[in-house]
Amino acid sequence: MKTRKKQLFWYAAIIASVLMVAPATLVHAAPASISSLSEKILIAKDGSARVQSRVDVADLKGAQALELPMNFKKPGDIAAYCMNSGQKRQVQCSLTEKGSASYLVLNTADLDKSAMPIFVEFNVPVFMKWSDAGPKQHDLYEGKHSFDNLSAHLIEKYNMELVLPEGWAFHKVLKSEPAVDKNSPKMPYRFFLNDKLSHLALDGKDMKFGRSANVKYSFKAVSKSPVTLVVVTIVGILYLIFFRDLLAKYRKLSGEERLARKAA
Amino acid sequence: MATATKDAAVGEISFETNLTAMPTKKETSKAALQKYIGFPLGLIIFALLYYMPAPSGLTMEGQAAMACFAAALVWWVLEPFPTYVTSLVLLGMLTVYSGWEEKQIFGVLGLEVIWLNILSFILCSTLVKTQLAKRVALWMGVKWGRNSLLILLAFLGLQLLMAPFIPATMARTMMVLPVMLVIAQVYGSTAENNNNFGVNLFMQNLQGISIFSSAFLTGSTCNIVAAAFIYEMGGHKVYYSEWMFGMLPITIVAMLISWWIGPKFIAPIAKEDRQPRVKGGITHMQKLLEEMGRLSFDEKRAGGIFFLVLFLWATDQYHVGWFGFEISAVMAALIGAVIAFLPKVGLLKWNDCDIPWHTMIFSAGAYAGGLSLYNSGAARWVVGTIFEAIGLQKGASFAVVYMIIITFCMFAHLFFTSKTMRSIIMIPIIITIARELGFPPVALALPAAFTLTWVITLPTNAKPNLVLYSTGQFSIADNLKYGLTMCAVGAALLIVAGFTWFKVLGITP
Repeated sequence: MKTRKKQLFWYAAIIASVLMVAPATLVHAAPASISSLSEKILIAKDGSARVQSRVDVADLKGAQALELPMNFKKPGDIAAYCMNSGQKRQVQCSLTEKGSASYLVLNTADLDKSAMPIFVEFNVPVFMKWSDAGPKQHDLYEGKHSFDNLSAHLIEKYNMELVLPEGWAFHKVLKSEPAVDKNSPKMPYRFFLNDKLSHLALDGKDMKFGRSANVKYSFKAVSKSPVTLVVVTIVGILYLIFFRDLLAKYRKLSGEERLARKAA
Repeated sequence: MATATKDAAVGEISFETNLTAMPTKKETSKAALQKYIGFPLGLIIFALLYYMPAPSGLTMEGQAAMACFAAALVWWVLEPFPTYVTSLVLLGMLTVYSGWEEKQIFGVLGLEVIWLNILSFILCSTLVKTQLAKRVALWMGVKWGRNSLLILLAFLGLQLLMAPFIPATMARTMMVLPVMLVIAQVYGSTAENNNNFGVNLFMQNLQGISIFSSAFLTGSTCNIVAAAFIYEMGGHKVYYSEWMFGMLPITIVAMLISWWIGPKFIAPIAKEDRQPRVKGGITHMQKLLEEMGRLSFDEKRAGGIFFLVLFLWATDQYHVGWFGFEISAVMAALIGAVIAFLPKVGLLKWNDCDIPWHTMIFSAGAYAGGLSLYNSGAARWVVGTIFEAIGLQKGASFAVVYMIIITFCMFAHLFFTSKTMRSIIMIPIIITIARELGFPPVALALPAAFTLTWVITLPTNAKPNLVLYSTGQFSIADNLKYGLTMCAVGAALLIVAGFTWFKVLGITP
């Protein structure tokens, strides 16, 4: 019995030691949270895109690197910089792959809080294939983009902004994540014009590992066919000609009503 | 709607209804001119909205939806062709110009609201066939039908009495509809040849149904949603009594104003229509009532089915506790309709039903237009743009801000048809504006919430409006004229109350 009790005591002591040490190691191992990450995707007429990102981290926790999910295929001309005491300073970056996931690694070894935010820009040679996008019915084109957070960083606020080339405008959002909540006054996405370019912005928040923000949208050329205008004009004129008997009826009935009022 | 049947002698009441047939209206010079101008005007408005450069925040889908809906609205009001034709044209335009998806557009005819309308008319047919509607109409006519103003007041009293106990507006509509049809006839108003008594009777009931819903917190779902936002975002709990004490007096005054100005100024009742025109007058109606004798077994069955449905409508919030699930309004109506059709137990055969299918088609178009505006974000864009354009700046006085918000909210239903959606979108914006300008949120949000159910300008604004419109007793133009006037009256009353009664109650500073 005594031996059994001793054994149990040592087991409990070992487990307690592990539990006491583990949180400390976990704390040290926890990656920095990204306060906000925004991606502005300027789509060009040839289907390529220029991506402008902005990363804000409130507390780097001495991290040597930030590993940002790269959800674009074959990005090129990658440049990362930050503003330090009013001076633009380059931030070293590289692409890495883990399995099927790609990451943009930013070297943050000698960066501190005052260096935030970090700006990243790169080109994407094929963001959208026009032949796949459309034209579908009613001259509509469809596109989509997804941001999947496959990094260890929690992204507190995420913003995706798609900008169509000049002469194109968004028609509608077909599907989005976050989805529209009918009971909420706030929409997860919004449309706006800036410098005559059509923008679609989607907001996400508290994006842990594995969470996605994505949008599927339709768009079309801004210029409208003049056929409708011609048809509307012709139909309107024809109506005014063929239904002019209504004017005669109006005059006749007006006269009758006037007489009836006088008689009354 | 009740029509004088061809075989009925002049001045006699017919207790049959014939809502299925489109009434052939008497032609007027105004109608002829409206028809001539209406179609090209709608085309012009469509072209202007469709071809204008899309403003910031509005998608191409939203722009197309707005253009199509605006044209349809002009055609519904001016009626260059029947309203159901406009609705069919609108369904086509929305599809062609991608204002909405084709599947969704045509699916509107399968919406709950259309089913509710169809089933409600079936239930109404049980009251007509069994003559229960005739009995109630004769009783009301004998008691209060001595002159037009008295009977109009009786109906308002009835609406006020029903409002706190029967929140379901369709229930209140179906209860009074058969009676109104007969009373309209008593005063000489039929679908083919309606007079201003008919216009006033139906318009005042249309208004009463909606306006009295604003008098009680539980009067409509949108009221409860608004109160929830005021609590969650504004930090103020709105009690039933606070809502009632605030708004009930306003609604009573408003409806009394409507009762008075309608027959005098908006749709003046001709001298000959101020007294019952039925052959033999009230005495004859008394005789008809006595001849009916006691309630027949069929009347009792019809009453039983109708009250079962009304009971289910009125007690929807308790169903989950009683049955474990809620019986929706349309399911309750379906239950009643099925019972009405059952052999031996029921009362109706299909040919006994009087359903105005042209109104269902009109409704489908109207709902498709409204839903396309909402789903495309166009309605939300309009609200947001107007609030921005109002340019409410810091330093603006409470009085100015209050007046602007009340006026806007009172008329917002013209382009933003869903009450609950207006509640979800507008109330949070108003609370945010209040906070930014340094005013107590409840001072702006609660009076704004009071306007949510004032959906009284067009038949498409609310289900009861559509049902009442289907009787042919008033035109869309009548509805618009009377409704806009009453909205202006309502806005004025709320503005005056904001500086007086609401101050006493502590709602406004």
